[in-house]
Amino acid sequence: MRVADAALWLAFASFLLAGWLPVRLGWAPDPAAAALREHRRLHECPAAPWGAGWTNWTREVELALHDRLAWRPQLIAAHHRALLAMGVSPRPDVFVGPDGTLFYDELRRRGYRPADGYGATFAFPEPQLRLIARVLEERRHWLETHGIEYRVVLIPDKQSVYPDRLPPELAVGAQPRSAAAQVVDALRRWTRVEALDLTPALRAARGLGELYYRYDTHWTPLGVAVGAAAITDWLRERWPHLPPLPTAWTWGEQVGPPYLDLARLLGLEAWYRETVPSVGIENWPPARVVRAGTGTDPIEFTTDHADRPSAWVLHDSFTGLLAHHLAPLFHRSRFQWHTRASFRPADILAWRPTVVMELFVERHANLWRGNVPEVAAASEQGAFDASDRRLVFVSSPPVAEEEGTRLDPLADGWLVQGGMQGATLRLAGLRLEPNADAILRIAWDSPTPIRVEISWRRAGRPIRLTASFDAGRSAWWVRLSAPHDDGPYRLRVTGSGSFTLFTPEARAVPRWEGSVAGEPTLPEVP
Amino acid sequence: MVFSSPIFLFLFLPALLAAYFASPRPARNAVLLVASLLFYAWGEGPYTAVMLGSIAINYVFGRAISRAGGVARRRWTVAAVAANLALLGWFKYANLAAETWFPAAVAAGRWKPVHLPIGISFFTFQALSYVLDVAAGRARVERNPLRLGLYISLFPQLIAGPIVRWGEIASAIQRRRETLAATAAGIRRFTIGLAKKVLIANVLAEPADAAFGAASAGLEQSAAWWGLACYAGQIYFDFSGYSDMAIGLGRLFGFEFPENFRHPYAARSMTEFWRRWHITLSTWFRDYLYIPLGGNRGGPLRTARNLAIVFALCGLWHGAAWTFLVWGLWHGALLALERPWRGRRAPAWTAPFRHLYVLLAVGVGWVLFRSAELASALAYLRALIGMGPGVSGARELGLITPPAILALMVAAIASVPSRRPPTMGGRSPVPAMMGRWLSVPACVAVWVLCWVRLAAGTHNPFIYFRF
Repeated sequence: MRVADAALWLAFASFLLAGWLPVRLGWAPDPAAAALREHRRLHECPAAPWGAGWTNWTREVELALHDRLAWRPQLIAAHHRALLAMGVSPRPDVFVGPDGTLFYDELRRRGYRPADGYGATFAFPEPQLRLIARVLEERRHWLETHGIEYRVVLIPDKQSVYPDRLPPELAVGAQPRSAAAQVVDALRRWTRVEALDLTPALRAARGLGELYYRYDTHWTPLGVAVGAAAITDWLRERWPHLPPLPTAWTWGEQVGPPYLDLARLLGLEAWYRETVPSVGIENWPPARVVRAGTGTDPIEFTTDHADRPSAWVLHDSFTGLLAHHLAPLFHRSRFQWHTRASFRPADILAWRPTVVMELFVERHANLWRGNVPEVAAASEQGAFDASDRRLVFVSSPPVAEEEGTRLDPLADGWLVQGGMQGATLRLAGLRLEPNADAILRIAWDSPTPIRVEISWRRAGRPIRLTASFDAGRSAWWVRLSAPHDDGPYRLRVTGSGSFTLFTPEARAVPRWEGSVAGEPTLPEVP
Repeated sequence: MVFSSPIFLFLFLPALLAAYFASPRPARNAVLLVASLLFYAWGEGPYTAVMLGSIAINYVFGRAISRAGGVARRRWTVAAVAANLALLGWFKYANLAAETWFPAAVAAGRWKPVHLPIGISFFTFQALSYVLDVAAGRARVERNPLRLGLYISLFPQLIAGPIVRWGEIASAIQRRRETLAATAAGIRRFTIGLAKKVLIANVLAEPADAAFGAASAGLEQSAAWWGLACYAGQIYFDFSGYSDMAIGLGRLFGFEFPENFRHPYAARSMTEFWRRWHITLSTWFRDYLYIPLGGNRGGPLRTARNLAIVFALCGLWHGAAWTFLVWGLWHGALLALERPWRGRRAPAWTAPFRHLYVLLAVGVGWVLFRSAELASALAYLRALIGMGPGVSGARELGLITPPAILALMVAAIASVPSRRPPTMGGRSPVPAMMGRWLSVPACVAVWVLCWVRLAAGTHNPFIYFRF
């Protein structure tokens, strides 16, 4: 009896200490890397306020402890995998289809009912459609007065192309039109904006292979090629001298989605792998990259065909590979994320394109966050909520966006920290996963001017980016987009001071600690 | 700080156990008192002063009552009761009173809401029982303020009970012995409570919240029943789990707290239900209110009046809202209606029907208890009988999930009293010993599962807020 009770005590004591002691002793993985994968700052334990703010302080301490729980990522993964095995999504904004396909429901974040959240059943209230149409028509009209054409492309969500893969509870009998179709119809009815909905083309191409990743919201290289062909055909109606996208495609396999956004939302990016068709378009000479797209900077291409139009394309994450397919169509082309740089008349006039083309992803068309601020603002204020029964707000809690603190790559970052004095630091052979899409961010607190240089090869062309900073605190970040890059990435920093090197892809960077002095050269990553 | 939080499990409890058992016996009360105050201050900060004030005034009143005699003793007792009720009344019911009598001032923001210190209902009732027992001569007065402070603030039962009487733990506060067997039993009991809370109640909370959240917009009948079943499981396993953890923690430190639940859903009358549900509260009201009011000694009408008073106050004790008052009156009315049949032996074949009656009556009560306001309670009750608009179904709301089904099945099984396992004959210690050994892997499994659930609760990525 006593031995059994003593064994229970021993087990209990081990459990009580297992929560955080292994991290303190270095027996468990550093939770910082896991928090990085969640794209947020680790909660820090602030000093006790001893007065006002006590409740906030205790909450911060608890959150800091939560972030440092031993084996937290593994425990989260175990929990979420167990739920998924039962066919239940661990998060309200991710749906799991009967075949395991994951779907994203952005509206659910905002407290709407599940059935409202995916494109196939979402019905826009008419005031919202009218506002969308008015804003885009104003853009078209303004561009027309400056001799520039305006075109809109709607890229469907996965659920609009594969509604049959949705969970049965979301299957509705009388399926309304997709959100993209509603927007395009509204534009045709009330405006002169030329609009293309890619849904029919993608639905028609389902037999070719997987057009969307199962564990990511984005389309596969095959989906991109199908979309590029549809856009090319559409543009050729207006500019018949544009060449058609060649139909000879080389088929291959791509292992691992580019970003695994849905798997990341579930904390399971390490568990999911999938193989999808990868297509290359034969006899489609690539456009030359004249400006590498990094960070908020646009990527620019040029070709020798001066008779072709020039295009300013505003896009989001669906467009990376699409840019390389579309760029050869144009004499000049400029692709810019509209979630970071919305429609800016002055910039457009300065560049003088023939056509401005906005590529909207369907799920953003539900909220128009960022790219059409007028509509986003009205949506945020609930201006449209009451006009349609399917938009009834219910009190089931939305995903708590206020929990934690968003990771701001421009202000925060860590993983590799150190310092050096009057030295040149080289980091070569930075390894990214195939098709990875990563941020590399370097922050300095330097008593001397700093020069940062990063070089790699993209589509066979060497690319080198340099930046110089005055003494003091500064930061620089580069968006590395492996689908377009040959690598390897070489980083060279010259200066003095302490530094932080940040990347969400923890595996991509060797572990670096302590100060570096003199002329250090880091070994190649194996 | 709640017992099922990482901060309690992985920081507070191990630190306290280490400090407690490393301390010499005379210092252990002080360690527990400091820990209890820290436990309370963690969540309530400056409002710890309210609890310290309660300790101070009840210490003074207790001493005054014990010294006085006759009318003076009675006056001191009335003053003590009034002071405690004033404290509870102000912090718990001032907002409701303001909203009821001065709605314009509240709407205009001229009324600054009063913060409700957590656990004030529990520690006030404990303090009241102390002064009333001293006044009645049922308990001796405590001259050491630290001991009285420990009684009122003892962290295991501080914020969710059980409501412990002074006489039940006074001797343990003075002198107690923490044996290996008792503390191991405490670990087992704590683990059972943790499993009830984290693995059952928290799982059932999701469909229950979704169902009650959608009630105003309109629930389908099946969704309403499923949501109610989940809520019935949630509230029982949440509350009894917390009591189990409190009792287990008490044993870890050498205390024996009274039982608070005895399979209430197995009851076959509402009278029996209240003998099994929140026992320490129902006995508190019985001893300190119902019996002093005359109990059932004044005939049926007077008994019904007393029950109405007791259960109205019992309802308001649970929360400052009209829904709680109606919930209490509902239970009081049912008990009053059952009075004529009390003591009669019902035929055995009626047992399933009586059981069903209790479940339905308690279920209706839970709708009142869970709903934020009477209108939404009525909407939910209409949905239960199929008279609601039926906008949202169980499938659409995602109520019926495998984890919820599993948790509800476990909850249903665990709600039924189990028969004692047959002994192996004579005084053989084999089954007990086997049980103790088996409890080790069982407890470890529960801890790991709870740890997984707790860790999962911290996962909140910002994948789409990257830029």
